[in-house]
Amino acid sequence: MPAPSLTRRLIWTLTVAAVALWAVAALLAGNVMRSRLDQAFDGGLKETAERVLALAVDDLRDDGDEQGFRHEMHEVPQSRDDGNEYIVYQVRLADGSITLRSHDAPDQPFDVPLTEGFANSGPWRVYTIGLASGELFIQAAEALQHRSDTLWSGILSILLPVGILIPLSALGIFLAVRSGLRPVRQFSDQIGARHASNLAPIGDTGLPRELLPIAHAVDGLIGRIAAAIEAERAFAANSAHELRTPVAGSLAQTQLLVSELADQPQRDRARQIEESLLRLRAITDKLLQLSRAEAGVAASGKPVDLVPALRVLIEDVRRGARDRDVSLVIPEGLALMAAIDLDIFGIMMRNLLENALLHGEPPILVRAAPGCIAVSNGGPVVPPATLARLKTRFARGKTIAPGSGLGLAIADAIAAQAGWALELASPRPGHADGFQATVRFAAAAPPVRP
Amino acid sequence: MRVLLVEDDRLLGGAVRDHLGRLGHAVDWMTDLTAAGHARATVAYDAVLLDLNLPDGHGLDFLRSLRGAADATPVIILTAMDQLTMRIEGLNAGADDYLVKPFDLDELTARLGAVLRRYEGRASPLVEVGPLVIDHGRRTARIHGRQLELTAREWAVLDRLAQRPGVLVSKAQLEDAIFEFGAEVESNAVEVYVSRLRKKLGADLIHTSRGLGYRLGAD
Repeated sequence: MPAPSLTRRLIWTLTVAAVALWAVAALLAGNVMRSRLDQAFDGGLKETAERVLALAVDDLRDDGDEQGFRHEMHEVPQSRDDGNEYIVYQVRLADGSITLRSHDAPDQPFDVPLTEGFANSGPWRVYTIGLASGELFIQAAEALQHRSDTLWSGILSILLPVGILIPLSALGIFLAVRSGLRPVRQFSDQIGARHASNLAPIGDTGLPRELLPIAHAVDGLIGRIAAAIEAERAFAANSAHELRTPVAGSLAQTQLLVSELADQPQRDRARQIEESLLRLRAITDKLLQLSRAEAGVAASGKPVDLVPALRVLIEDVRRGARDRDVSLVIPEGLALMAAIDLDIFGIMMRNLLENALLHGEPPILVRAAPGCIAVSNGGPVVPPATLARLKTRFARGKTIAPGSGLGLAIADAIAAQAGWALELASPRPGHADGFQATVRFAAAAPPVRP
Repeated sequence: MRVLLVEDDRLLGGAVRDHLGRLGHAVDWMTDLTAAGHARATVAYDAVLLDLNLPDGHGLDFLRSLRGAADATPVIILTAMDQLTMRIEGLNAGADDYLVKPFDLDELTARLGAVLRRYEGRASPLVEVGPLVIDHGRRTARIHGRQLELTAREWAVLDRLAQRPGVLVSKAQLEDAIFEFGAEVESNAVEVYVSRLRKKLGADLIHTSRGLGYRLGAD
């Protein structure tokens, strides 16, 4: 299920609320309009009745004798042929018979008593007024349908803008929400930019007041994470020291004992102790390296030049591997800039070099190029099936060398942490034998030299 | 030769001292920087083996003060800190080599020999003086192709003399090179070892300048 959208919810709620309010407003307006319309129409009806009564009396007197009005019914012809009359009338005698009616008036008398005033009869609103003598009455009527039609057209004209209002308000809300949420997006980008090597507090610069509590909470969390990572780094470094020193002492004492025992029978026993101490040394080294590699601190915010580090590493390996042929090829003037923690880089390269020294044969060649460092060695070809497994922990090639089986796994873990790629190939490119491990990385821009 | 060992771990320090002592070097073992500072002020050492985490300070501070005082004595850092940045920092501070604990004693000897050879400007561990060939790497000496059997002290005297063949080495310098602090030194000890060496090398390779000292030479 997708996450609920704040924008959509706001658009729905605000639009529905606006429409509802508008409808209520239209109803209230309609109510007022109806009473006003009734007054106006009633006034018109009354006026018409009074005017027509006077005319009808004159008209009927001219036609009839002096004594009374004629009894046969007349119809007043329609003056213009342009539709229905709004107001119709019947002129009735005291006995209720119709003596005159307008063109559209019904030929049956209205079912309304001949008393002065307003009354409703079926679909009609009727106003009755008579002569003071009570001989003649006029009933002017207007269709109620006409009134409600007028009322509804008024109400509709109020409701019509809502159709434009709904899309407009949705668009307005969408734009307002988007611009209102911009600080939220910027804030979330800032949080997203934080990683193990960039744990600077976000601070409250430019954040709206509503987001400040979140910023403060995130800064608190970042502070605690930074402290935890720092503690983990310190722990890894300290435990390295705490473990290594006693092992170093025992190993040195044992080696001294081995040399002092000369050819005595205990010498073999001392040798066994020495061997297991050497194994212990290798394993603690690798486990510490692995824990550092997996501490998630490989990526570093600031790019560093790897070339001096590579030179120190190779020099160190050369000294340790006296007769071995280890060479470093770096193009003149190359700066290998990369955003990686130098210590972690050192662990990765040392593992690749140790792998070459331990399991390969000379020549061991380290070549650096922009975005890539390759460590190659001679020796037999590693079968593809073995090659595919080499990066897994405790996997070993077909070798009798006493490796820990962790070296390439550590290098791979570090490469993954730093966002680098570790590629293994055998035979090494351009040769029929050997092995090559290549790390590829996104080269960072070299520092600007003044 | 005379080596200053600064190491606070008893087990390791004792083993390194005994190992180098068996090879004929005089080792002064100090467990903190204050004592190391006093020792350095008293004796000219051929090499310093320096731990980094010490009870009264950091080894790099000691190294920087050494280099700051224009003291070029070879220094090898012995430490459990294996981080590359620490290594680079140590080398930048003026260390000649950087050995991570736990190390092989033989590895230490080899690195020490390599550092000293670099100081003496010799790429090869071999020193030839007339018919005498001294191999610092293997710690052996041959005369006319014949292997010499030398005790540790005899080797130490020959080693010191062979550091700069033809250059006069005083009796005190020889004593410094072969006896650590607190060793019981007989007043004629140097003469005794020199005369034993002469018996093995032949009388014409070690020359005596009365009251000044000795030098190694084929002339």
